[in-house]
Amino acid sequence: MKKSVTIGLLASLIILSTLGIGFVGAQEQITLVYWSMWNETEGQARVIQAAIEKFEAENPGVTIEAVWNGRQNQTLVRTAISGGQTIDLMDQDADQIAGGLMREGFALPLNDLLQQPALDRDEPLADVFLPGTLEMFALDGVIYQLPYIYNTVQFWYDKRVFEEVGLEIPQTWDDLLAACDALNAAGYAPIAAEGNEPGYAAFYLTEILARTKGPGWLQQAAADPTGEMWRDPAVLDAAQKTRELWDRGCIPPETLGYVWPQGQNTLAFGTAAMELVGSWLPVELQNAVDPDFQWGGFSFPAIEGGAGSTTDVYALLLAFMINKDTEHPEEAFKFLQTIMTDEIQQKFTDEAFVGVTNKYIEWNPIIADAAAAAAAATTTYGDVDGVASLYSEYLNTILYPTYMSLWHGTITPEEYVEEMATLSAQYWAEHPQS
Amino acid sequence: MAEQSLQLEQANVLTSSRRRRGHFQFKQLPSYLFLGAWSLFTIFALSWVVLASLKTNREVFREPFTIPAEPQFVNYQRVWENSQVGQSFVNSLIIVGLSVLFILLVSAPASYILSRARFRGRNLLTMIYIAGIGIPYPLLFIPLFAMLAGLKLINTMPGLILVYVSLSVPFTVYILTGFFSSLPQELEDSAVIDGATDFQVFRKIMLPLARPGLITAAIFNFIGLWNEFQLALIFIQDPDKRPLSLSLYALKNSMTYSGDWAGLFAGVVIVVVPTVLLFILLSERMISGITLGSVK
Amino acid sequence: MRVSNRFIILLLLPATALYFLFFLVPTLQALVYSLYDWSGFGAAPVFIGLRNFRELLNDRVFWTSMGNTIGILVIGGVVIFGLAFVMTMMISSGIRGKKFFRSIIFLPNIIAVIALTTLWGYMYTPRTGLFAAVFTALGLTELARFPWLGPDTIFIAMMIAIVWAEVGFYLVLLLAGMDKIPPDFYESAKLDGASDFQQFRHITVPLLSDVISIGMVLWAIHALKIFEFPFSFTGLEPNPSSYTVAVYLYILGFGQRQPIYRLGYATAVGVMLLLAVILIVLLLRRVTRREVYQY
Repeated sequence: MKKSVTIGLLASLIILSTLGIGFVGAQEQITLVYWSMWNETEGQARVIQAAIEKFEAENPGVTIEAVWNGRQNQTLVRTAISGGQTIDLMDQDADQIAGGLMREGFALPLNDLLQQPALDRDEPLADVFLPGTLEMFALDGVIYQLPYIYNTVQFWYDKRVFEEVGLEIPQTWDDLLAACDALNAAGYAPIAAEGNEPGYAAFYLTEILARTKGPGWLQQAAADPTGEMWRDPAVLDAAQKTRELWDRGCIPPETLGYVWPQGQNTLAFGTAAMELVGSWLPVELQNAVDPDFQWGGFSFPAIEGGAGSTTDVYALLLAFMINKDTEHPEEAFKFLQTIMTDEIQQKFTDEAFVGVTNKYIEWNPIIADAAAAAAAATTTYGDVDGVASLYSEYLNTILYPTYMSLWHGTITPEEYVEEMATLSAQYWAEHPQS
Repeated sequence: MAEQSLQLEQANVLTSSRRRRGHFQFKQLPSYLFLGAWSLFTIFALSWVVLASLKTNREVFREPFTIPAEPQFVNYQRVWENSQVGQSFVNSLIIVGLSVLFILLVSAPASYILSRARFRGRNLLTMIYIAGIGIPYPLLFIPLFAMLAGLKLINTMPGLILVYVSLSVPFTVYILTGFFSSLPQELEDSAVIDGATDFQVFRKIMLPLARPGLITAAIFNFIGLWNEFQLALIFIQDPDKRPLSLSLYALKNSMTYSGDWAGLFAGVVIVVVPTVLLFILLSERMISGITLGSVK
Repeated sequence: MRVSNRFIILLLLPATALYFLFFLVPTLQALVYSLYDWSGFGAAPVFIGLRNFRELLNDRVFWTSMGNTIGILVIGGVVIFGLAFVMTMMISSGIRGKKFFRSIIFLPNIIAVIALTTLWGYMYTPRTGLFAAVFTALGLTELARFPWLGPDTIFIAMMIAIVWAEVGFYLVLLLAGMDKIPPDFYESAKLDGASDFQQFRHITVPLLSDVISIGMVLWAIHALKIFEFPFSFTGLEPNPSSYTVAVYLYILGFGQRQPIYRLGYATAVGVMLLLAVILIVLLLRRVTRREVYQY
């Protein structure tokens, strides 16, 4: 008696569960898991949310589960993948993906998929991109990343302060120093900076060397196994220029104590005039600035006798990557196509104030100067002249810490040169390049 | 004889005024000043956070000391809607509650045996447990991660609970063995004479006697785990499973990236207030619990 | 007490199994992993002997982080215990509001550390922070611009915050110990003409030795794994000059924005931490294991 009840129960359970499977099968419900570098409250995240809604409406049966991780996204993705989690899509700074998940072979090659037409145009998706952006991190011709936001590193400044003090846009290094003096005399902190942010401080190293030796030189110096390239006079000059900013009062001394975002806040509060930083600054400060704040941007000034030009652009792309182990590469790519539609790209620039990679989109007037720079770019180079994507460990253990010592004034420019030469040689002896 | 008792009485008067609550004495002025200043600072700093959470973003930095012109309760609404603080609070209750429960469940019997049973290797085992107290957690980050990844327990609450319980065992055993060994032998003996089984002796006699010790161990672990951050950071990635400490960290990043300082402070208040309320309710218990554990 | 072996095993097993499997085994694994070059959880580790340790010897970031950790342990320990002692004396001297002071000073212990780092980070901001605002109000404009979180003072700034947050716990411990000392000890000492300091030295300290040694063990465990403060005190990413060993290990193993994933090397850092613990324990034992007082 008891037995038959059990059997009956079991049988009905089996029938129910097969029914359940059949039901799911009929719908073919697919869920894509997307781990995001944005926090939910950020403008960029809201646009991506809009893109998800658009995508889900156009693709019934596919849902996207977004996880808003913030900037440590790649670390979390890497950790989670190691832990057995399925993640189909992720995004992060393209340089960091290139040095991280992509180099470790987690990324799906996109070349074939990119030949599919754009959702809203009669041309392959690959042709929608601003020239050079897709290929920036290609490896032997294989494209692993889909860049969707285009940031430039420039001086971002408060136009009203520049007008008030009667300043022209600095064209040369000496102009910049003169501007500092004028701003100091008028009671402003000329340059806002963060005291402890290696990534931000090193914009100066990268830009100075890009202007004096041309883009690509710093990357070579970083990879020099003997470390001797660091003894080039240009490095000493860059180190001296860095110190000059502090010693001359371009960067006020209390900056040492600013922890991000306290430095950039001084620009928002009208006590500072400019900051060398990415074109994401206006969106980050949108809650802090006066409603009538007017943003302007200008490229890092030229350095007399230098090989680089002010039209060389320090570009920081943000990109999507599809996990090579995804079970739904077609659907995942379709979402990236949605991200690249004019509608969504326009939203990024309108609502989140950032530059985009779709060449048909006009950037938000707030960052008009970034748009102009990107459009006129003679060369583009990535973070720390590509060192971030190629030698991320060297960057973190040697280049950043040593430059921070110089930034803080705990070592002299001469000591900086000496340390970089010795430490680099030591590093490459321990880590032979393949 | 009479003289001596008089002296004693005088001494009693002296010490009672020294050790019990009494009238204000000039000698105590520095104590009042020091403790008062310290407490005032703490109260001031914390209430300033509450004040800032009710300001607009512009006011936070530009008018640090003023009472907000119009209290911005909307900050709280914004934070609540944009973060999973509520969910995290529940997660924290589940994770910490279950962890503390399991910690006691496994540690109490072991401590009882280690402190009261005679068997070969007891000293060695006790030593091995005590050695565990000295092993710094960070050493375990990577091997534990690899191990839990193999068990498919990364990014799961059971995984985090397992880690919390395992890592808390040595210290808890250390505290509880101290307790069990301070209990009188007689009760145990008489129970055995009355024919109680081993388990009954443990469950019915020794465990109730060790209650204060168990409470202490529970409180130590609760305080330690409620705000635990680094292990959670490594073993939990999914926002829906975050405990409060991680959620607050995410909130901090999120709010600073959007320049929403008032919102950040509102978030801090939301996260901290329930804990502080819990503390006010339990502070006597908590403090006396710490007391019991440390002074045998 | 005599009990059956089966009972012993039954009661010991759950705790011991967990402890061995998820604590001791990973510890031993860590010792092994530290001899490997291992670039990711999916990758195959390559045996390289002691090369990780050799590299550590030249790794300045590592030595800074070790120095900071030891600094927190030693300097923080001295300051925290010193303050806790002074406060214990003050609070148990018969003043009013004993419970109030005790609760308020203890309070930061139960607040999420990230909330505390947010608060302190804000207080230290030059020009616009809380301290700066106080100094400005007092007319001390120079001090209002002092870079508390600059490279020279960030460690001290962090220590101040840590001491403020932690001292309450040790205060409560010591107070508890004080309350257990029978008052007649002090009475007879008074009769013998002992000064306040002599009473402190010869009654309070020895009778609190139990509590003090527990407190020291607790502090040492806690101090060696301090992570949250340096991790979230300094903006976008932790600042290498305020790394602790725990933070450096995390960054090497799990990375921040920049991926590193040097699992073997990170584990070697952990092994160095273990060595530091062993050294400290041996030292502490020398200091505290003099006499055991009974009362």
